Amino acid sequence: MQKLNKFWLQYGTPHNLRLLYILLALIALAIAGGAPSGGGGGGGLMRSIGY
Amino acid sequence: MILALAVALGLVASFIHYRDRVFRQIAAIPLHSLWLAGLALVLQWPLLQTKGGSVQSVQAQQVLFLLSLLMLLIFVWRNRQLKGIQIVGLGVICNLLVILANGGWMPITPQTLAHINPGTVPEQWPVQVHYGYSKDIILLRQQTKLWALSDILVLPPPFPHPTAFSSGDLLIALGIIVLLQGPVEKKTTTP
Repeated sequence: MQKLNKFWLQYGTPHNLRLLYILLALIALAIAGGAPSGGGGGGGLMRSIGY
Repeated sequence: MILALAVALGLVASFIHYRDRVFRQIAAIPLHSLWLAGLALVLQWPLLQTKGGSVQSVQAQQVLFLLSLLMLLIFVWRNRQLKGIQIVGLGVICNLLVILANGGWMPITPQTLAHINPGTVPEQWPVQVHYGYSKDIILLRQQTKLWALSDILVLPPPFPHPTAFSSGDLLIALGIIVLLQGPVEKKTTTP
């Protein structure tokens, strides 16, 4: 807990938090805006219909 | 995967440009209402976690998905002054057009699915069903409205994660790369 506190005090600056929020928002934007269809599993559909 | 690559590429390009100032530049991007992007993802999560099947069985998830697109549009609008967001916005609109034209789903053809699922053939893929863990509906090309804007582009094997994506996704990826180059530095001229 103390290590976590120390980590937070050292790195949890407004600048670093802003950076983190921007990167998280861009990742969310990437997934929500696009989220291309992946293969290699059939989306569960093939499994569900017994393939 | 392609959009994850876009974020990674954008960071690498930004690092090459700015070196040790890269994080300061990214933190200085004047993005507002970041929470809207997070909310959009949260609203899409139920659909992205649902396995494939009849579209009737995922109506609630689909409604949330369409709401999430509205959140994205609001996010784009609130940040429309940024060039990268303008490109992202164009991509979101392209995706939105084809989704609305096809009953609220992003269409994907059996041929494309066979490409990204090695070992399968187009005939194995039933049409007019939800392709699980995605926003897609499986439609034949002739059933698809605005086919050119749908998930027709493919990163096939040996790419480790075979993926289908749309032109809108490409624009979103490009917009994110541009955005990650940080705010435009104003040139000062000395008299």
